[in-house]
Amino acid sequence: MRGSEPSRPSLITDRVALPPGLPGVWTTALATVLVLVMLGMLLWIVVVNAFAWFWPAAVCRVVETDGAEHVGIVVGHEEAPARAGGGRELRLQLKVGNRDLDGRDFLWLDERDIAAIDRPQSLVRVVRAEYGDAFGEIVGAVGPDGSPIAADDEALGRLLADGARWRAERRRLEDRLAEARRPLTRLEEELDLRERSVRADTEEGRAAIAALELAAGELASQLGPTLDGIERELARVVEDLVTARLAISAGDRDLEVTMDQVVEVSWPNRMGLPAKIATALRQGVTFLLSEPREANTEGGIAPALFGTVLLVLLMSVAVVPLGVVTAVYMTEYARPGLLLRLANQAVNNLAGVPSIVFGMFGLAFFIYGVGGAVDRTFFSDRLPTPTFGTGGLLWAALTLALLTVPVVVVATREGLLAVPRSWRDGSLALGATQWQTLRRIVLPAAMPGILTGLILAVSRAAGEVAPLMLTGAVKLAPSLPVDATFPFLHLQRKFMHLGFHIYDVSMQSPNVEAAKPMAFATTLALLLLVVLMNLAAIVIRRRLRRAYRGQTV
Amino acid sequence: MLTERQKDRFVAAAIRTGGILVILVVAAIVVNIGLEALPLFKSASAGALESLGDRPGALVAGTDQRHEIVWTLDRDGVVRLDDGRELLAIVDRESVVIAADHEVHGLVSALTDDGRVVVGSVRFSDSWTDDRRETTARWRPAADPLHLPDGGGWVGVTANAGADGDLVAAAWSASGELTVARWDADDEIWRSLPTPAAESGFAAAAVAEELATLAVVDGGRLRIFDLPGLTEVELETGPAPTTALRFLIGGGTLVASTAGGEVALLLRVPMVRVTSSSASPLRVAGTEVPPGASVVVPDDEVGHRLAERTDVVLAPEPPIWKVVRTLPPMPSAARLIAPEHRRRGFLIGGVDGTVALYYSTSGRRLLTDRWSEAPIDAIALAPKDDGAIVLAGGELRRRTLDNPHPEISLRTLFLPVFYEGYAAPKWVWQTTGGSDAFEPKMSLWPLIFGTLKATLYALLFSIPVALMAAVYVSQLAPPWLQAVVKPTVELMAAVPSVVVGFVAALWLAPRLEAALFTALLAGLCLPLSVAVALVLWRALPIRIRRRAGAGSELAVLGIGLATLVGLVALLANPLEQILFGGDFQRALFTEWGLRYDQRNSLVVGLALGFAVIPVIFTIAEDACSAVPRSLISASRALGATRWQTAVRLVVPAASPGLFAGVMLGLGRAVGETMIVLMAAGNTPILDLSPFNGMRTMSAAIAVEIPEAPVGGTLFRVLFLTGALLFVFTFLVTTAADVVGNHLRKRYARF
Repeated sequence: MRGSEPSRPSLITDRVALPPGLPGVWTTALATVLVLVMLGMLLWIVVVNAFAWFWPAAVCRVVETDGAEHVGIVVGHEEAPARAGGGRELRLQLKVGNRDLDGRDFLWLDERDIAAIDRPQSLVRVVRAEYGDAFGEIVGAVGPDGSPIAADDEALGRLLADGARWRAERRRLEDRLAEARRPLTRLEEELDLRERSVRADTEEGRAAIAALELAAGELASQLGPTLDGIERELARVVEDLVTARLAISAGDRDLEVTMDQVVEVSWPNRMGLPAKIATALRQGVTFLLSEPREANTEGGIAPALFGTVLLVLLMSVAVVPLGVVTAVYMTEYARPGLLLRLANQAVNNLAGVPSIVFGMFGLAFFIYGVGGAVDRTFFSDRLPTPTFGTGGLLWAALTLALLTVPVVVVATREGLLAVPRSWRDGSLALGATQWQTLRRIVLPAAMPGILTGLILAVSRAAGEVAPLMLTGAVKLAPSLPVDATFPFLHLQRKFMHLGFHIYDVSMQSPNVEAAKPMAFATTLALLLLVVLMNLAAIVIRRRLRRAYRGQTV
Repeated sequence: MLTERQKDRFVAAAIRTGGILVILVVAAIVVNIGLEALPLFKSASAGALESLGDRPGALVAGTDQRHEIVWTLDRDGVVRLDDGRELLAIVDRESVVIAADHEVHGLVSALTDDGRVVVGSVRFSDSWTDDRRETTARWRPAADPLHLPDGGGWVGVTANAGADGDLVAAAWSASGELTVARWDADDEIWRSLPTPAAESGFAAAAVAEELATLAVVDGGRLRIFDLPGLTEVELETGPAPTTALRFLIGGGTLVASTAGGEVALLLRVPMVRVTSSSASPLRVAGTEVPPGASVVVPDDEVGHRLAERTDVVLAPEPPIWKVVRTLPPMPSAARLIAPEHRRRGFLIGGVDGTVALYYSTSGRRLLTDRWSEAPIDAIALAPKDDGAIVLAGGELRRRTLDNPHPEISLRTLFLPVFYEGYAAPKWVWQTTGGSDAFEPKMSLWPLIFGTLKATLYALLFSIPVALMAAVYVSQLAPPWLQAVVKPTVELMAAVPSVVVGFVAALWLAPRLEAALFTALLAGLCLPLSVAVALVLWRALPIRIRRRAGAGSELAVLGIGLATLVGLVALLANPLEQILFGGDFQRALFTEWGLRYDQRNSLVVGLALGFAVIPVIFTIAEDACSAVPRSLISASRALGATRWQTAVRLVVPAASPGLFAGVMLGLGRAVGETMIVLMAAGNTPILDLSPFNGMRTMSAAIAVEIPEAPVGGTLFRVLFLTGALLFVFTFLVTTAADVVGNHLRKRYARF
């Protein structure tokens, strides 16, 4: 034990003076504990709060002493503001949902005003497409033909299953409609761009617009019957969906939910532990795979996840060659001298430049400089509507690539330096050129280093938000950067991003309190992504170090 | 097909080029960002003077926003365009216009020889036929003609408008009379206002936009009156004798110029009466207010600071006017002043044909040039402030102006500036306001201060923790702990800053606000937990202590920490009750005048510290571990304990590395964006209090760049901010580098 240095044992008692410096040792230990505790707390806060988003919490009925009845989920307790004459007491926060009734999601109830809380089996949570969750008891239902349906489990189950089928059908039809209409949509978009461009006034511009209008008209009449057919089918399904509805009683108020609004109906109070776990897992998967709703405060994060992954993929394509070449130059080719010192300085400084400054560079150089030039050269018929002259996936990826170059350089250099001198000498002695040595011997051996660098770069890029705010991340992208229209990958499109999503939901959402659990869930997703990648990098690097230990002859 | 040798050479060349690319990237970043900021410091420039021919009868002139049409108002009361078209006469054919004035936003007032005042403006409208634009001009009266009292011998007139269409017109006579009238746009009627008595005869007058003030020249002396009551405002002795005067857009700034060519700016300073019923004397804006007394002081954010005090009554008082800036002089006596229509710039036309371009906020004279040999008779700026029309010696001339960033100078960026509506020179960052007449305030100091403040609190917390942890982990901790802590800290470094900012802003901040006293008490008592742990440790029998494995101090520490936290949680509430009556935040405000904001420096310090700790720790730990084993072994062999070795040998030896770590931590804290953006509240204030927030340079960039017009002043100022950030981190990184190299050399021989 370091703290207890050998000290003279007393002969009288086994209590000895503490060794000198022990307070110092322990104070430094305290600092270490503090660091660990802070990280642990951060992770714990995120995990616990995110968990609350997935876990099917019990729906409670709360009866106040004055007879008022509320239905909802208890989300928190806090000390109530002191009342005259009263001491400190608790109040609880009840998520009552049903925002369409009076516009608020939460209620604060003083504990002294509460007469009873119970959890009847019949209470449901209805996840809706609009207005957030609804809580209450299903007291009645209406079928697609407008006739009432008994509110027993069997009939309800059938109705809900029908509803799910109709919604799937609606989605399928909407997709078909968009698919069938796509050629026309593209023509119209093109036409719109031309009409808004500065060239719309010129002779050739007008000719082009006229030609486009003609083509659009022809196509419209050609597609007409098909589109009408699909639209009629769609109208029929929607008719069923808005006619069929659930009547819900929530405490002392009632509301109706039409089937087109229903996303999911669950009876949390009837669930056992296995059912709850299954629901939580299903919620997690849905969260990752579905679209956001209600200004990003509900639904899932699929587009943000997709945007993040695509962004870091593109960034990797750019950063690996740049970083590896730089590292190879610095370790294998450069002679000691001014240039090498400069390169070294440049890498170190690049690592120290604030990310927001990279964002500004991306804005000034990539977007207004390069993007503007590309627009003037290739998309001049669309100006002043910018194509590449505005924030987009490509510019964001390139900006992040510059930002992460130092990470790749440092890791690759470490990998290269770990390759024993003797291997290179051996290869060169056998008559191989430097390039052959590099390609066949050095680079394969340094691969783990390069991989570590890439993973670290990706993890850094996945969490970086500030530069993206200037280079093209948006709160809600109208379309994904990848779709079925040529050229399939649309590098100029704006995109959604997990980190920006967290910032947006937690800072710029109209209803931050209601959006908080969603933000925590997104945070957990981002943290998992980043932490897993870093763990991978740590493991690979450890292997690398072990592999070459003792070989530097 | 290339031979292997050729391939080798080719690849070597490619790699060399690629390697240098990274140097180019760094250079490109500096150059690009610098280039965006550079135009801020360029002066204005003017195009060639273009003569539009002789217009002997013209009194005032103007142009449209595209500089296509130039108009003049002639003595016969007809507005003529430069293509020969005539607009309807503004007065009937019999009368003659003897004087006219041209105000901000193109408001023209004309005085006829039969004692009438006509106010209106020349308006332009576009119409399209067959995709061809046609711009038509017409005279639009702003009010019915005003009939001045008979037999006055009127010689001069001016008028200005308020937002609701009301007007105030003032006319003066050769004999020194003045008449002032207000046009009521709702009742469509002119109402006379009381007339001030002249001391020696009025020679010129100006009405402020929004109609709150009238300024007159009385025998060369500047006098200012509050409208509508025409109460005279007390005025420090201004420059004399005043020859020209004009209010700038918004009406809060008055430009007065003298026969000697001096140019003075007067600002309206709001005043407030402070009545104190507080038991103790109160210090307000540099004056002492005894209990029960009341004083009138400049409203220097006094209201803001005292608004929540119940024992102080604030009442607004009439504003005063004050000369706040003397601008570089005109080479000759000033004759006319033409205000910009969108900003706070103005042109002065002199008696010798000189025209000078000034800006109020920055106090810059951007251009001085002889535009004519004759005195300037009329001068006006184009509606977009990008050109000017002058009438001199009967000739009409036009000139384009390129003056994109007149409001910026090094002084406005870094020194306090006397802004409109303030009582003293201040550093203010406030870039957008509610109205068109808003004066953008772009002082970088509040942002720099905010950045330094955030950095200070972050480093106060993170430097000790990170350095101590580094020393502990590298020198004193058992190997298994090292193996745990180092990757953990690496993970900590990888936590995205948006996550840290989010948890700080939405989890930590509200909890800290609810339990501020408990948290502060716990923070203060934290070091005590070591003492508690030591006492616990001492209480253990020596046999157990001897047998305890390495790192068991952590367990004891944990118990000490838990005990302490429990004690604090138990005692905090009663203690707060006894010391501060149960409400610490209120006590902070009433006792020390500290306001508590939910998102404050404590939150930022913790969150930013969280982000900085791994940076400092990693480098410091590496530096400590790099101290040669031989030195440590020697120290131990001489009988030094591990602690003594760590403190006396390792820390001094590794100090350059520790310094490098702190430097890089500093760089990280200065440049960090998301954490401060989310957790700092983003108010650009100059206050070091830990209980309020700040706006940092990086946060200002992130928030304001997406909304700043590209190429505008704000856009460029933000790029300048970015350039400063870059330079700062560049210096810090280089310093860390140089010192780090020093360390490496020093131990190369061991």
